[in-house]
Amino acid sequence: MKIIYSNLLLLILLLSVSTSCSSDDNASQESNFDRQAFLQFMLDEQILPAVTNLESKASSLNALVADFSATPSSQQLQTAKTTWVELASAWQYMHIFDFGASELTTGNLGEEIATFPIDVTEMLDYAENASVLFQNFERDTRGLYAVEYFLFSPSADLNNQNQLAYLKALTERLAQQTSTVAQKWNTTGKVTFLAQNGTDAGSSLSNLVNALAKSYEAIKNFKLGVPLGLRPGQPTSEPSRVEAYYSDTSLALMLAHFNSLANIWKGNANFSDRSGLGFEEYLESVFGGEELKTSTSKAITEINQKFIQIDSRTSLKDAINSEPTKIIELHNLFQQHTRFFKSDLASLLGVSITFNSGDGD
Amino acid sequence: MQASSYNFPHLVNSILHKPTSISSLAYFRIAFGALVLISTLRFIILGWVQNQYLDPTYHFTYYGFDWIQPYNNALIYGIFGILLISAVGVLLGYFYRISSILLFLSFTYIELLDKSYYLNHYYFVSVVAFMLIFLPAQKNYSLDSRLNRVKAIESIPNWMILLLQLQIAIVYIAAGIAKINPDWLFDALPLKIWLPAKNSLPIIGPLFTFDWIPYAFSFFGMLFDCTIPFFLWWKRTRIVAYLAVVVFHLLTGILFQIGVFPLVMIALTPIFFDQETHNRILKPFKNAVILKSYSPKPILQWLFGTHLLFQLLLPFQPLLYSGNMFWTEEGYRFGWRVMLAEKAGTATFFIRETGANANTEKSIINSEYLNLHQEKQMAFQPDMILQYAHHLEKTMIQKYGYVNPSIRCETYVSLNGASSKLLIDPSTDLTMQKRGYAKKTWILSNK
Repeated sequence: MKIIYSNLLLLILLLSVSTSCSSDDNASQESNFDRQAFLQFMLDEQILPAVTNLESKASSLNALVADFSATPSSQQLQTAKTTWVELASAWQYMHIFDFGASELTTGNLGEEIATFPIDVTEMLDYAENASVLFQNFERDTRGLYAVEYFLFSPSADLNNQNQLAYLKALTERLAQQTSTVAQKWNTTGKVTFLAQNGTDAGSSLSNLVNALAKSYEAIKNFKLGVPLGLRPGQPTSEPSRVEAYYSDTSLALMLAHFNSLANIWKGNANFSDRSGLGFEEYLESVFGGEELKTSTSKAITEINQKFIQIDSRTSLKDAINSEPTKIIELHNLFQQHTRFFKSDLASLLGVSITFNSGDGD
Repeated sequence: MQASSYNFPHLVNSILHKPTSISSLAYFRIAFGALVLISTLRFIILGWVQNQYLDPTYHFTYYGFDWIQPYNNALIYGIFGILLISAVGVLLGYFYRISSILLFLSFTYIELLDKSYYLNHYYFVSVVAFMLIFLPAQKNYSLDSRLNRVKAIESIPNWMILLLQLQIAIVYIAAGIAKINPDWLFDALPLKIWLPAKNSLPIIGPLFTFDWIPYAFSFFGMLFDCTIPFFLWWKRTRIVAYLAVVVFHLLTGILFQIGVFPLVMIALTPIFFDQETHNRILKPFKNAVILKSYSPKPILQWLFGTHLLFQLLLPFQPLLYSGNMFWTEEGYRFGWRVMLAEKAGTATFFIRETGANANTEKSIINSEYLNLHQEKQMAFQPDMILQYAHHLEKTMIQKYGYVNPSIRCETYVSLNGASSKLLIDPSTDLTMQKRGYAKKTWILSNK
């Protein structure tokens, strides 16, 4: 047994010598990334400003619509339209943060206020029956894009008192739901967000990594793929399924949405020029991270250039009909780069993305 | 004749058939029943029955076991009910024979439902449950013997205990040998990825910011797995070895999200303790011995001999295939390869009608057909990619009227932190490929 022991010791020694040799050629990384500071920056410079902005725009719009319903004027309507676009843009910066404090008892904020396309027939039915309690799960009859219909669609009739009342109920609900979520983020939400600073399933990082992939894929699949008719079962393109169909602001909103994701990636503040810790800095501190940082940086530039080429003032629904090539190219760019934001990131950060047990040892 | 008592076969024979106390086997039965009971309750309480087996509309069945399906909610809850009751039966040694059979069948049915949830320790539970069916573990320290449903015995042949010890030794040593690869030993991968992610743990967290820690853990892990069975067998090191088992598994349990695995090993490795220890622990539960001598049916030795042979061979399955098993995953399962690689992928499927009605290519939104865990597992395992493609083919024909679709998949996989590469040939029409154990020629090299 003595012999075995000494052999074992020799083996360990040999192995440790070989490790120390081989570890030299791996550039030593600084693996003590400050995840707490990363979460803090995200909270202070991205989440809280975004949710505050969303709440304030929803509240402004609600006040404008209330005024308008008391004393309708075309000028009021114009201001309401402008505010709606600002609100829809504000939502893009919250799109990814649809977890934690963004969960309402009836569903996530995104499901509640940003479902598209809307079901106009169903919605007008509710309006005609003066049904404004929203006690159902037909989310395509309410939210941002329902409001958009009444403000922008030529077929909406705001002289019809039922429709006007429905619009008023819609903006009230928007103001109330965004205010609830803003309040939650500003109280318990932020505490939980900062406290869950690990990498397990359910941690803020795990929620974020999941949300990033989901939000990114929402652009690819639902804002581009489905309107382009790229889903099986769609015989042709369906431009009526774009986001923000009536205001024709689809591309500008999509660009805002993508910018919000790029900000998180690069650690840029949402509404100021401050910068801090983002996924890029995180990647710099982990094994294999440099390469992913370079590839994603390139991917973000490519996608932004494509947006510039298309010109975000273009009408997406028209472009899908008349010259879909560029839009398909944009979709394909998103497709090609999905892996960077989805599996590659989760893998390098060693984050668990589901609660299932792993294969233990 | 006298001389033959010193020859080798005789020695082996005497070691195998030397009577040993049944208390060791009873300990194992009780610990195993309790483990299955606890882990099944945990599984139910976490809501996993619903979210792993009932919510998904599609399951990744094992080749040859496609008939194992959830069918309906009542069946699945029924099977979980049977599993709970049979675990109690095994724990108490009550209606043991039927309980142990039901435990094996119900647990294995659930495991065979969907390989995206495959875990080596679930496989281990199935293997042990199978072995327990044929061992007389209820013949003392049990309700069956207390109630005279079986005649209580004192001792069993030593090979029965050796068998269980060997089974555990195979698990450790196979896991250890699997760690002897350049990535694990010389680059400390994947621990170099996993450990720094744990830097926020109290007390031990700061350790993981040191560069040398993953190397130390990798070497220690390999040495531990390869040698621990021997230190458990050897009486002089046994106590220290068992303490090491406890610490090692608790530590990995804290570090990684591995469910009940640590508990399984901590509860079952005491089978290496000597019979006196088991006698002492179980003394209050001993039943009066009625049957003085017990000899099992000879066929059992053949059965378990074959079983061990299979257990020894199964970890070598990857030798049947060329290529890097971590990349191709061919022959990867059922070999005790645990936590050996960090692997993730993003798979996009494209479908196109072929022939006269050829149309433009459409792309699949995976979340419409799979849950997050299934999608994650599928994206880097070729056999699951193929299964899913076949499922999509069937769905597209039924749902959208495709007649003769071709389906291809672009899947980018990252292994141990390397930048992601195509795993399979993105031009292969997966509807034309057959499932099975043959080498999958459409898997690309990771070089």
